[in-house]
Amino acid sequence: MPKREDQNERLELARRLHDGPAQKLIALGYRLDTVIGESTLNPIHRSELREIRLDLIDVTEDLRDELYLISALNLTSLRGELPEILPGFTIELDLPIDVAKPEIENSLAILILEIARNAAKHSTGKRFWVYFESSVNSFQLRVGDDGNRAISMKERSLGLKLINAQVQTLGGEIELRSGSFGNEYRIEIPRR
Amino acid sequence: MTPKILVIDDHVLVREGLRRALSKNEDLNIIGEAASKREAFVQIPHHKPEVIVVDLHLPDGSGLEIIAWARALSQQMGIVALTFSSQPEHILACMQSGASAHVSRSAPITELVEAIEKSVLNPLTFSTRRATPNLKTK
Repeated sequence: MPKREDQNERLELARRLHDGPAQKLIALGYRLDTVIGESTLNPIHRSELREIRLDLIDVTEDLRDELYLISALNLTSLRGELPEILPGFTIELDLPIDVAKPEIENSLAILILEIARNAAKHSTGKRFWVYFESSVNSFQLRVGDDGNRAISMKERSLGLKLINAQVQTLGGEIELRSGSFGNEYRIEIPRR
Repeated sequence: MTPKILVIDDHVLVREGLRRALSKNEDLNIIGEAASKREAFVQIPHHKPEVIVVDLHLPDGSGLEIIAWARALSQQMGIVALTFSSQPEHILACMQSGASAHVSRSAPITELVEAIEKSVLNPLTFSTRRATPNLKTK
């Protein structure tokens, strides 16, 4: 399990980069927009400045994506987060840590955390599980809890939206099954 | 109509850049700035802006709180969330808090101007140029 201090250092680095260089790049972009909008600007220079502006958007978004990865969760840190979200639950986590590329791993971690938060809020159960299977073309996840009360659509509406959003980001499909065993999400995500 | 706009962002360089770029457009009128949630809660009732442009990360709280508060205050106010993140959950949160539009901070100023103009006409609808997943529940 990663040390909490390591995670804190990464978050602090991400915060400094977000508040410093990233905001300067954004402000620089607005300054360029002001110049590009000048009616007296030579058309050749305007065209060149527009290209520079597009490059600046790329650089800014690359930095944003890197910051996201620096501050993002991975499946290793997920192991530390789940017991804090689900105190009192027995957690069964059968999940290899080198399952996917960092950006996919991050989305998987967010997805599982969202389901865990939903369980913490609505489940009457005491057991939470994550099981993973892999095939040539896809990953399959089973994430559930043994709460014996089916969760109403109203109760799970926002949680489900966020969970669906993550699954769609990953290009996958999700199904919720409820029964005497509890509630279980079955998620299939294609390998990219 | 020239909408009165309040910019809420804690980064002074970004506020200056926004002011300079938006002031080139004669159809927009920046009437004030706020650098924190606390300042926003004072400036909004004071200036009664037609549009607010809100950063989500503020030193004393979330821009989402300002969005929800401003929407409860007025159904006519255009509310544009200006965010660095384009994560679907953040865009969804902007929409659910009552924003009229989401614009990426890396986008050119023309996208922000377009979002401001749309938000004046249709403050209660939501627009974003970011690719968003289908957010319907199954």
